[in-house]
Amino acid sequence: MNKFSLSLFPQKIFVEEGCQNYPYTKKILSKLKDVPRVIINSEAEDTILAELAAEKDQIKSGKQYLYLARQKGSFIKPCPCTPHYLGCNYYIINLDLNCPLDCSYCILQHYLSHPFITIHVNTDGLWNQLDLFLKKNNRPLRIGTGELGDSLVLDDLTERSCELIEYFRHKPKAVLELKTKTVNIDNILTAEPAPNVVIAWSLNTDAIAQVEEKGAAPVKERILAAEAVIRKGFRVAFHLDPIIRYPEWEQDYGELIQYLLTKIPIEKIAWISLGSLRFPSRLKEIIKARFPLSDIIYAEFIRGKDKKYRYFKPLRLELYTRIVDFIQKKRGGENIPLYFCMESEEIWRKVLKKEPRGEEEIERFLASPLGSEKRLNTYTYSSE
Amino acid sequence: MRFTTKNISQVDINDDRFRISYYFSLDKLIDSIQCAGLINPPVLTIRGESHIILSGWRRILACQQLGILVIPVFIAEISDDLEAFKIPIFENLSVRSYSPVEKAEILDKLKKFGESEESLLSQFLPLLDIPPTRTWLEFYIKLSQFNPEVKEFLYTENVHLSVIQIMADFSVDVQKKLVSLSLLNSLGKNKQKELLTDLYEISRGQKIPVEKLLQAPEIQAALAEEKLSQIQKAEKIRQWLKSKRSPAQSAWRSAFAAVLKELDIEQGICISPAAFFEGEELSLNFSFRNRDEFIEKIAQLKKLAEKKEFAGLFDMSSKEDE
Repeated sequence: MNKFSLSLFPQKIFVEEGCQNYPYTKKILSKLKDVPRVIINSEAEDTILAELAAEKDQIKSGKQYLYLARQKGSFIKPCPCTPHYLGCNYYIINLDLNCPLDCSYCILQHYLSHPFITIHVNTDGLWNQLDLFLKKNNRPLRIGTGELGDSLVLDDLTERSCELIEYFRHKPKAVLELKTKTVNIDNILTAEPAPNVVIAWSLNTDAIAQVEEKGAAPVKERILAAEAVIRKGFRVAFHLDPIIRYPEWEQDYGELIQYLLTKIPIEKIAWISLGSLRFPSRLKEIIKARFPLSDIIYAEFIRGKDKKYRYFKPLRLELYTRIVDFIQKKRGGENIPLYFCMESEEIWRKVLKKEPRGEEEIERFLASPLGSEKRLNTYTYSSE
Repeated sequence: MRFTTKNISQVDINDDRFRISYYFSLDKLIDSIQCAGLINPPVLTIRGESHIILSGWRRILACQQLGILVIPVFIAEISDDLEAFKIPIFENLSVRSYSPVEKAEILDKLKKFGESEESLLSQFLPLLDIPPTRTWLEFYIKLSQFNPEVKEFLYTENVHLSVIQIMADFSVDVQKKLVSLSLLNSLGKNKQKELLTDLYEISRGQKIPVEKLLQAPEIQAALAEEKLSQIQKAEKIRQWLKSKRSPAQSAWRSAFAAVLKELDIEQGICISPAAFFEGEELSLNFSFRNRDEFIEKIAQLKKLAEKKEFAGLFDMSSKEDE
């Protein structure tokens, strides 16, 4: 399998003063013996930014720098989603920030204030915060590490996946999602599966992955990796996001879904999310400058209610309707929980023919009861 | 620096290695020299047997046009081109700011004279009020390589930097074509940007070469329409590009307008779709001056809702292909 290689990453490590003695720092530094490292003080981030100042592509250059630092705020936050569209009450664990992969459409290029890769090493605080958070939110919910970074791309370095799986095994009301575009599953395959841990892959067509997802594993390898973790006993999930329109989209997404549902047993799929390409105007400029050969930003977009560019609604409806049809025409496919990421209630109603009664209902639908064969029957849609 | 007088015929005006500005008008300066004489002597330097201009191109060309044979000059004896070039840069900066085209010329020449990229970034970009990044440096070097006709247009029409940035996305041939079609001259900055952006994005998104787009019958017809002024032609082309850029939206807008027309709505009542049809809701606007007018409008609206065409407002997808 085509694993993300740590041989070229990172080129330099910055360690925030006072973080040298954390076990994570020691573990990571011991695995990167040949990489130059410097200890920097509390103006740490400015020091790194100064090194990047003259670079033409600071985002690309920043991906070569690893910063081991303290998480000074909360590790756990609600997913910011987007205003005026339906969210899913997801929670994110901010362990690692940014990603060494280089997807053209990645929102992190715009969303994060710094271009370097940050690993928060003070994880002693994480477990306490999680305990408190789960006690306070004592209900089925989903939480994951794959929003502000890829959950597994640095797992060879951090081995966080095993610790997270062990922790959540004892928190059955919460579903932990580890989301990736890599095939870095070695640690997952050594872990004991837990019914409330879902390993998820973002998928796209080969044509998009090859051009727009630099550094990510080929799509078929991601699906093979999913097969492997299922054999180990985990459930999996998939994110068809961002769905992108291009002349052959219909055929290509059809083939992708056909391949996926041939390889992956439907009952092992915890959910599939759907989201079409969307981006704020600043990201459009970044994509244009950093990926001059990419044409994805030149399709027919409108400014959505959240002011982000997204495909004109009839075009999104066409995309989703066809893709949902591809999924549901497969025998058993109609049982796969589907949801939209950052979409309107109208899209839910017109594509899935149902409309959830708010975000809490989507949360319940996707998070409970864990691993139960009956879970699909528990989701009640309001009738149209 | 030495002060002397020089016969203009001894100045080599073919050597423009230190020239920053090309596209200026001499009219006002000629008037000034006629009235007050040449107040500020140009600066020359010597290369081989020739006296070449460091600064004062306009003054020397104006004197030449006026038939003045001998002029006062300063001679700067600096053999290094890079060092010499700093004189006109700083001299001009002390009295005026540079246009984007001039800034491009300066940076290109500094680079050719051997100034390091680091120095351009750290010293000269801030001096020229340009953000000190490689991206900006590359943009200005690219601008220096624009066709002279295009540079002249950008300079003389005082085209905004944000428009020039979009121009830089096009090939040299397309830039020339755009200038020769006079599409931009009559439009304001925002409409210039919109027209160029649509042209570029249609080309990229729909894989149509810009040259071919400019040959489209709609554009050619607009250009050939004698009754239209230049601004009307540009506006017509801009509108066509806008609908070509967003064909599905354009079809929905037309379909919505067609339903409104069928409904034959009373004056003073306005029904609008959500922005970009993104929401399902329609909005209604009407005004009234008193209770009676209000009741009358409500009655008109009730009649409107009873028309069978009214349902068409809520289902554009079935109308767009009609």
